[in-house]
Amino acid sequence: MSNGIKLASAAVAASGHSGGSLADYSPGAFFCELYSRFGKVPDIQQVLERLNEQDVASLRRRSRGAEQELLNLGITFTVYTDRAAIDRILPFDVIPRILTADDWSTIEQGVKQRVTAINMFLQDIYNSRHILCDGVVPEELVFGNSNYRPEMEGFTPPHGAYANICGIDIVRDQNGDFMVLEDNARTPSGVSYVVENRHLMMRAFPDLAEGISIADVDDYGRQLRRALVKVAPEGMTDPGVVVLTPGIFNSAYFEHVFLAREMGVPLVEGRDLFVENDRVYMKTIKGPEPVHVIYRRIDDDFLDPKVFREDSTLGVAGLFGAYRKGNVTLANAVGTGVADDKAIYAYMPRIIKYYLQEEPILSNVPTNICREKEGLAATLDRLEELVTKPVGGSGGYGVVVGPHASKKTLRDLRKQVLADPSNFISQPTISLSVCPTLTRTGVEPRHVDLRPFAVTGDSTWVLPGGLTRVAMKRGSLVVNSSQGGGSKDTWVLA
Amino acid sequence: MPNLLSRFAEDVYWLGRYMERVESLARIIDITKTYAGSDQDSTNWRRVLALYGDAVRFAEEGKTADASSVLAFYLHDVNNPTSVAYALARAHDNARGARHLISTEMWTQLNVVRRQQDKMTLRDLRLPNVSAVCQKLKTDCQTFEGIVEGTLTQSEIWVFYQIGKLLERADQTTRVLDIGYTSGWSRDDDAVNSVRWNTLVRSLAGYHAYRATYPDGRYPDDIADFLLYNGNFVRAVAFCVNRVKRDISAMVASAGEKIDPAIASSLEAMNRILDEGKGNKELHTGMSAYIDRLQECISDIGEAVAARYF
Repeated sequence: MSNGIKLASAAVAASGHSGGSLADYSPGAFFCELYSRFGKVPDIQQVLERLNEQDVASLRRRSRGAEQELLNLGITFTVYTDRAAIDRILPFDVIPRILTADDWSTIEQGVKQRVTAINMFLQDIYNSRHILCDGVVPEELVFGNSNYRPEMEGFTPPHGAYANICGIDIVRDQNGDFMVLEDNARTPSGVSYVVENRHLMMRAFPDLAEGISIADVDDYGRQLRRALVKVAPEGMTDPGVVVLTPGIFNSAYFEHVFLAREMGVPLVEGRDLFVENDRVYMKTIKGPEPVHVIYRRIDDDFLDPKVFREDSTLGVAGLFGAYRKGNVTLANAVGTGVADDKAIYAYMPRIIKYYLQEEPILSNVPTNICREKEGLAATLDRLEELVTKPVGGSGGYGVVVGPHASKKTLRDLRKQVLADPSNFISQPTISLSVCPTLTRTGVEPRHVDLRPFAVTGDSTWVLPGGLTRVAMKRGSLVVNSSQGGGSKDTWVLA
Repeated sequence: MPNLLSRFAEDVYWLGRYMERVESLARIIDITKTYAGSDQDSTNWRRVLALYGDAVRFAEEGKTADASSVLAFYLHDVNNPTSVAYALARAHDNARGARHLISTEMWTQLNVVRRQQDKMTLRDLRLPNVSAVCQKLKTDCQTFEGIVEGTLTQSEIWVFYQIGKLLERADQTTRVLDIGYTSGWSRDDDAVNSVRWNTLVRSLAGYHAYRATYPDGRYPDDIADFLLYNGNFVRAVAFCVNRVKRDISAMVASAGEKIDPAIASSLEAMNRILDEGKGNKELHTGMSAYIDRLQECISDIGEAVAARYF
């Protein structure tokens, strides 16, 4: 595909500046979110042509302006060093990632299906446990999971909605097929960047989208608030809704501000709340005021020092008691972490089939479950080609990437897998799709993923698009903001 | 709409106080620099330390009260709780706590000002630059105040911002006035003194208003009257206290409530002291003691507000 695309040059000539920002761009063997659609999707083709009318210097100017604006607006996450708190911006790339209406339809339906299954699974394991009795998911993966909360047994939140806010991480392979990499059913971050990136994009590059119809992302706050009102304790028509933050020192504090502001509700800390007779109140200038729904951005462990970690100063004593009594709704529910775990992930396609009698619309990255005979055999056969992950670990700890591993590492891994097969899964390495991205050395392909956000009250709504994260280093597959990843505006074409 | 959380009321109260403090510090440093001129006499710089009750602490840190140390102490030292750097950091933190309630424009201006402050080096504080630094700080604070006026919803959050700002302003005005009375200037109504006092009232942006109110004003008595009792000059103590009373009264009235008794009595006490001073020229010989009483009273009002609302 290298240089095989002839971009219209008439416009460049007419515009008077040199242009050609894409002249040297080549996505190689990867699926490119923009180039692989050239000649097939007119809107994308037009965007590419408009980009190519710019020279790299002009893209850089726009990019610098946008990043300065992020800093001034305080759209930052905070990194702590010994000396100081440093407000960092999430690097913003001025070249958007574009999804067609068909792409989006697949993702939207797939995410809804997945979230529905996750909620049914949570309801089931904390109550009747049919899926365990039927042997579809091994019991020990649930009860042995540190995110399983026995305190939740026998409890169902309003509408059976446990994971009210869900972020599903999706990647695209070299054929352009979408697949789910990870579910985030606790407190997924990043939605504020989806909305702010759009504002930024429209200010930095208003000409790029001219005449192209793009789905709005502005409705998130209203949709979220509606969903939260729907899951309020029964009989509450005008519930008191709040966002609960760990405080201004939390690295995601901007997102918490954003959520409270978009919903028009108070952004409270644990110390602003108290519980009396199993009811939750906030301290206002006119005295205590009842609280009925809490979008909490605090982990289960820190919610209530009486029930979970005693040393937590972030939570509210007695909160869980009020919750179990049904006097307050927590979003997300307590104990959702058991569903977004690596071990359970491997079973998601079967979980979907079990509850919905449907094929998964979005497939998993193919996963070998080593506790199963075929999975173990497939893993041991091709250790040097696969990514092998311990299911108990988190944050990438203990992950072995076969193609990059030494012979010794692979020998050790083989022993570990054989000794305790049920602690491992393995997956093929996926050639993540790329998107043209402005780098120090011009516009180059960089790997991207996508995190759409689903909001569930009595039904599920998915924010069009989602957060596109981009690995800013050449060849890197790591899109995490903590490791230098950036983000892009994500367009869903009408 | 839910009621305002106590913490947010407190956050914006301190936001108002700290931003006003930054502006006042800039004014006081600027005027001190003017009085001190280029001479090496440190009397003027020591007076700033006295003004904020910092002399002992400053000495304990092993510093000598010359221009560069005092400037660093008040403009640059983020660990000094009476510095511009500290006040800006606290203003920024307080704004962060109530960030979802204040306007984006307010937050942006604070980010810009704080970042600029963080970049300031001791080099920037050399004497020839000091006036420019202070001018910039003043302009930045005034810009912020304009942004507040133009963007902040005039609900309860605005009221608490005003209370913080006005109490701080009243307090700072008494401190500037105290500079004049503790300078050891003669009390003669002569040309030398007129320059000194005019400079002082200019530092509070009140010179033209003063002239218009007292075309034949005598120094320093009429200046003191103007800065303490004037009902129209926005930095006069009486004006600030009246506004605090007006804003709190309006807020409680709209909620169908009565003003909190402790707040009411602290405001009455303040008015009594102001009435006592008005027209009593005897007081001017013991002005510093009178100013101390005013400052205590301003602090009582703040404490009553905190006790009731925070």
